[in-house]
Amino acid sequence: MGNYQLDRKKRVLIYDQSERLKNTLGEALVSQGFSNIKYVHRVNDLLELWNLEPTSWIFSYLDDEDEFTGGHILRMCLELEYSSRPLASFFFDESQNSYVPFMMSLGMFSSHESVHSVNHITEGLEFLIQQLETHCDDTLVSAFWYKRHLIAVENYDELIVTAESLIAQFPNNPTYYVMLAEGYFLAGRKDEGSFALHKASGHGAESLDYFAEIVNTHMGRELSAQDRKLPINSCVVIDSDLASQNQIRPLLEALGVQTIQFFQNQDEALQYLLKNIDTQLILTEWKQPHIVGSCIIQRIRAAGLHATPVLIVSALVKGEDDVLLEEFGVSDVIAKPIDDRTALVAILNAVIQERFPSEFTTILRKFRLMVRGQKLREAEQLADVLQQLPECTDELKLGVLVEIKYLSGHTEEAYQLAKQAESQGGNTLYVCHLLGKICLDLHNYKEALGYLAKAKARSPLSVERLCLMAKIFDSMNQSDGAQTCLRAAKAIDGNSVLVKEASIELVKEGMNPETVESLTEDTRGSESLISYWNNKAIQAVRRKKYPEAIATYKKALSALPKGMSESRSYLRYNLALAYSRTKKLKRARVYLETLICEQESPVLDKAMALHKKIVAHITEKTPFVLNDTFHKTNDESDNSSQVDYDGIVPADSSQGNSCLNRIYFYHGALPSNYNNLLSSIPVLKKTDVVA
Amino acid sequence: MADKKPFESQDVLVVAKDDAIRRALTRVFTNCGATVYCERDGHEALKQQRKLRCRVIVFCNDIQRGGAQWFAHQLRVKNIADSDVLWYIGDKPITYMDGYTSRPFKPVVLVKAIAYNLAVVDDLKKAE
Repeated sequence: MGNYQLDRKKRVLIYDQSERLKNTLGEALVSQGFSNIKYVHRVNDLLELWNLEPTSWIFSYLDDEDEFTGGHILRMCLELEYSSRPLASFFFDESQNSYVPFMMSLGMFSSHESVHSVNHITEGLEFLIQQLETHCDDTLVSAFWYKRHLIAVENYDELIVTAESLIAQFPNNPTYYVMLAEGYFLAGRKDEGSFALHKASGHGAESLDYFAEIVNTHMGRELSAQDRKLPINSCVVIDSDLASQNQIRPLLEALGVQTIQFFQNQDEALQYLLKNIDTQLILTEWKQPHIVGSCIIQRIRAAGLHATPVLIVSALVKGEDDVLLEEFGVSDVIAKPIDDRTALVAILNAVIQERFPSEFTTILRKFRLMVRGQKLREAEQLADVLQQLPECTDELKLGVLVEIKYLSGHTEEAYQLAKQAESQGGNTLYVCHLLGKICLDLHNYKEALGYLAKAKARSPLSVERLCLMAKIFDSMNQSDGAQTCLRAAKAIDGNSVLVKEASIELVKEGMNPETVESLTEDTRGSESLISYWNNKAIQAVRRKKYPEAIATYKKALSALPKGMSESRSYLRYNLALAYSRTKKLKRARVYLETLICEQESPVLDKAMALHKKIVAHITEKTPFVLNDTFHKTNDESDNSSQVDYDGIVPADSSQGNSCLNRIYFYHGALPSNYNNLLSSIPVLKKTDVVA
Repeated sequence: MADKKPFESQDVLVVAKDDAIRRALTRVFTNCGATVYCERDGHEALKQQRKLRCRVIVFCNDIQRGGAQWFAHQLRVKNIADSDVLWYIGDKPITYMDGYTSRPFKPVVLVKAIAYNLAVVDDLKKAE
């Protein structure tokens, strides 16, 4: 990045089956000083030429209906070394606009309208070449070009996502903050736009020739001190002490927090948080009347709130709590009695770092939280950023790599790397805990217990770890050990969903009824447990572990209180969807039929649409495709990635070494025939002689 | 070989006061392979269920003694001889019942809904 050299003498390839580009693009390229231009209109010719001499730029149509598409060209580009990789630009029809974000995420340099004139193309080329030669940075130019496209199609949400991805990678480049601000303003989020412009200004955006114009266009005034306030939409405060609540309220109001929810009871707070998963900030006391902070923070994370910054406001945090605070990603501790100024700084810093992480510790914390939440794509992005930071030691880099390998399902490889990390002195809490989990997956129960015990010695209050140990003891038929671990977990937090889940799993056939009763007394119909299972199943679906998801949905459905309920309908639909994904269509159909027979099903429309597809597949053998936005698991609110990048992006390619590739990931869904873009590259059928 | 009937070797308890409903449901469930038992009030139905342990109970809204809410509460809160599917014939959902079919109804619609719910119960019992 920042070192791109455009060589006009190198060959430019135009792959154009219809030969429409010769008279327009060809002329434009010649006018820009390119002389070595080759036109090909057959795939075989292209594949033949590809290997003959290096290409600097390739132009083509998307050809999404063909066997060989623009997606294949991008894959071919990605397979080359960075130094010999050409820029790839494509021409799109208006109807193909939905493909542009996906193609951008694969490293496409620029997209152009397919209806064009020589002047139109020359103008675009001139701009791109001038930008490339000025900045020597293909990522920056590509992002700039992509912004123009997103604004033209009014896709402002995607513009915000792109800018945020770029800021995570280039935290000191003001261009991307300005891009983010434009996205916010165009999406009608003026406060956030003003704050982004303020951030851009802090990174030297005044030197950009268009900055003043953007400020003027969107704000109609100059930046002022009030733009320094980061808009926080929602905050939850959990503190049984009304006096503390009254002290925190004006601080949050001064920060412009729009919705502040105060709770004296932590259970009510957790119920609220489960329904408002997009809460932007949580402030909690460490020791409450019926629960300690270590439990609250673990319950918040178990409920799936991995991205929300949590601050502890308490005088009761001790030195030995630090390990747990770090393990569960607490942003900061504000000591009581509250000093307004310190508290304001801590709150602002936590929220800003959550949105624009720039400090090493924050990025590392965010990475670990994403790993905990099994959000592979986000974790991978942060891992790439961490690998480039000077503060990241070799042991830590290895640890990060192990986490990513394990999360992406490469358990054996993760095990080898983790052992290497352990031997290199990375014998930390995280490595031990991870090794425990890996060994459990590999059924090395004894080894797993050893590592988890080591981790427990460092951080003894983790309920998750104790429950994991209980399950391992149970797998080894050592019920005493299992019961001991479960009792220890219950002693820390008996109401934790993890304890409830472990309790149910320890129940065995032929067990003494009293033991069964003691294990399951708190679990029947537990809303929190069912919600936890639903979230866990959704995560398994995202990781494409469908049998695990199906088993988890079934557990949740079996634990539901009998009778009609919205939860039952949602779970049945989700289970049907999971069955469909594993092609068990007859089973999926049974669940859908029950929903269609219900007179007030909240998922009736979705169930009917899926049912129609299944019936059409069973009776008429029509292809069964599940990739439009409609068929999305219910409650899957965070737009998990629908596009399968596996096998397309070479694992060893690093971020941004081809425009936006591996910096920006498209999170939406594509039209049903996008699969065509992802099929393997056709093999060269015969060796045609190219003139 | 003939297809297996949806309620083959299943016991179904029909609780309805109206003779026409009892007759119609008896005929349709019998045709689907079930053994059908009938009761005219909730208390008798509960006694019968304790003995028979039917997998399916269909409860009609014309019952006055031991009504639908009471019956569902006995089965599913007090856990007295619960069934796999407890279905209501009436115009509104009843707490703890698995579903309902509004009157007037075609027997085949009711049977279909119950059969699929029963299949779901069976599937949930299967380990993945």
